[in-house]
Amino acid sequence: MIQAIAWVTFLEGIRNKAVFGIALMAGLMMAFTVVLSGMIPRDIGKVATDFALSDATFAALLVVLFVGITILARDMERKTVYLALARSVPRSRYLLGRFCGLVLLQTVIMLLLLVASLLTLLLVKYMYPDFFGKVSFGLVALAHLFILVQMSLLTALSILFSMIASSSFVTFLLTTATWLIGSSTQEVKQLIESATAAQVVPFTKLLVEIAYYLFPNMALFDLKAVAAHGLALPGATFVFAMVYGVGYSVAVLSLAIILFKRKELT
Amino acid sequence: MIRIENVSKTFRLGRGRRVTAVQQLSLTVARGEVYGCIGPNGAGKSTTIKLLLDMIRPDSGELSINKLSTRDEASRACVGYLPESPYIYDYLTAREYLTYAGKLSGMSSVAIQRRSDELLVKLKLDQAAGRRISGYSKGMQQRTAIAAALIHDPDLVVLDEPMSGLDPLGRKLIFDLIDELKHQGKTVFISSHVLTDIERLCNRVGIIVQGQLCYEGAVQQLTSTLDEMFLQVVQQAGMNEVH
Repeated sequence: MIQAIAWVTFLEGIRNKAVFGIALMAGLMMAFTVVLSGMIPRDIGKVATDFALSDATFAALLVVLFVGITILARDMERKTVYLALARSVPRSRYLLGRFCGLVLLQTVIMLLLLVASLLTLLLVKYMYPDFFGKVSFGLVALAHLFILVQMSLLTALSILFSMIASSSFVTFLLTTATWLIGSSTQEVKQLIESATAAQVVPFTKLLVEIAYYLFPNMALFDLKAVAAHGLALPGATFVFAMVYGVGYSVAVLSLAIILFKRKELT
Repeated sequence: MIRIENVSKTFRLGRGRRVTAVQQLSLTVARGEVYGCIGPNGAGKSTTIKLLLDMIRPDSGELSINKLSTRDEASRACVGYLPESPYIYDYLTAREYLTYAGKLSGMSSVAIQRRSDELLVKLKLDQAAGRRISGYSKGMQQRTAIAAALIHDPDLVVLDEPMSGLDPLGRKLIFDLIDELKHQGKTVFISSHVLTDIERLCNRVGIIVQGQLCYEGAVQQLTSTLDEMFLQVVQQAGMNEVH
């Protein structure tokens, strides 16, 4: 049952014209990365890696915001959810099926983005072999896995928000805000804890502290610097990020299921 | 088969305002019966159906299908439901849509294939089965939704405005289908504004006005036409627009 719901969700996503638009945009951005690399005097590999991973993150984010949220919103607004729930499908399984379908969609898109990123980097390396530097292609692949976990977490959050928001636009705003705040809280926290930030008022410190623990730490999944500089990724960091991403997604999805069970589908 | 006892439901409109959709509603539908639920717009017919399918929960009262509380998902295993103005997954083909509906009901692939073929032919959709639903006319979409409601051969069929948006040919197809369900001994609960069809198809009718069941009786025992009876009941209930 969950499989059937996940498959239909995947089909809905992959047949959405927005996905083709996002894929086209990602392709153009990768091509731009190649062009841009020719304008960099040194450390071309690092810049190209940074750009390729940023392109992949941005494209995956657009899929969550413009495909994932639309699918969930349509379900409620057009009442297509009735097809499943008027049968003996438990609401928990329905939501899990939707989530699995969206993660499957993200996985396929992420694989395509990985291929595009690797081709871009190989092309840049071929064009400028002397200035490419030591970029780890294995870490580039791992960085895509991290983006996938990050986007799965964001998808779970968008499902949760769609349970409480009155419209898809509000869900969009909440999801975007969470991503922006979650991506920057770690950096802001480190900044105000540094010696140079002694003049920061205690109230601001408290706000940052609350935001740091309340919002998911999206910076944990950012491997751009590690991959671009070919740094070693400690096993503990990898395991912590994966457990954090999966655990957070499970917690958020559980809360969404509780809300969905209580929701009135008028 | 269906038991609704003293069910009430109010909706919040915001700023503390509330509207009563269903008030102390009680009705039963026996196995094998075709029950017509009629009433003016906003009378509470669709709300009653949504309560029955646990899409919304009552403020008070009990609802059951086959002696199982509607809060129990198992109560809906034998139910086929056609919503009012159904939106269907238009990126799928009719065959994919029916396969999905069948899988949701726990059917095997072989059973889905066999039943889909049968329904697609019966509802004259077999020629278009491989095309995406987004290219279908409204009538074809309605027929696809009905096929999905019947894919698992349910014992209880709940139809909310099944004739809505259909041309005369489509209406005839659906009419014949409901008549066939009746002869197969299925229980059918229909909400409709097309009173002539209700009169010809149903064993019993219930007239709901302002959330209350104002009349219930066997169609054969009607002393006037259903049209006249409907207007009379609505007038007695005090709805101003009828006067």
